[in-house]
Amino acid sequence: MNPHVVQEPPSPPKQESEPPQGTERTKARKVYVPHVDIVENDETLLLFADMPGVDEHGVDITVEKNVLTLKGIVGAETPAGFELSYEEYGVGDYERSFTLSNEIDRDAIHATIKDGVLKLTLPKVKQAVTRKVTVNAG
Amino acid sequence: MNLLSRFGGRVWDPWREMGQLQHEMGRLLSGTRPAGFPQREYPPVNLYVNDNDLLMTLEMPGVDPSHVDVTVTGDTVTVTGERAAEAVKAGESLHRRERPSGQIRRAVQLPFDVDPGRTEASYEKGVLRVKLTRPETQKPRKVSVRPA
Repeated sequence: MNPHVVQEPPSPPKQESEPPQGTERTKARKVYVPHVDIVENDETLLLFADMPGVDEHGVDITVEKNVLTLKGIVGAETPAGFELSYEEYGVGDYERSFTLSNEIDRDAIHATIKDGVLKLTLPKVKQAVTRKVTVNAG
Repeated sequence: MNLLSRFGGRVWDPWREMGQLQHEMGRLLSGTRPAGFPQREYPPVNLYVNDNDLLMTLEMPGVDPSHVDVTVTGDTVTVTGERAAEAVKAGESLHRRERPSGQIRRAVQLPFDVDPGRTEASYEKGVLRVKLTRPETQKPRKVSVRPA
């Protein structure tokens, strides 16, 4: 059942996230777009997001109307007592939004985070039970 | 890339050399790469220093730390490991695959020798931190200037 998926080449560097049109961020911290993998089966949609440096206290997941927003806050950029001397990646928070289809049961969304990987389980709405309506002579 | 130059002007920068050396080593060790795609080293590395130590951090979420090897020889640190991609079971469909997976291998040449016996490595929240210490004999010593 797997459709042909184009394998993406090894990941490009972290992309900074643009704030929504017409708005600015209040903090000076950098915000990056986390890479995600999305897998779907009959009952659920699974989303895995790479957010190194984030633990369960730093994750913020919100659903508003049909938009799912993931946010991850990391700790201090430079370890205490050290000076940054060579940098290949920036240290910053993570943010990414997705539109959810109507088939997702918003109240049943749950998430776990381990070793910097956020795993989001989005169960689909169970099919409505068909009911038979009895008609009595009026 | 953050190239520090305390003197402000064009000064020989050991970090630039190191960066070039790294790219050379990366090219030699990584093997084939997709044509035309500028492959960056994976995982990316940051280096922090103070007078005695060097702290190397690598962003590698979702890796089993027991399968990660950190080897130190002289002035080179090599990190190897593996990151498995999420398996897609029968009946599932993959919509997006952005997270990197596969062999992890980075060899980083440091600007000074470090003591292999005093190396510490820890893996927390998906970040590997390797703390390297200069050998006692090679620590910079302050020389006091005596008035004549």
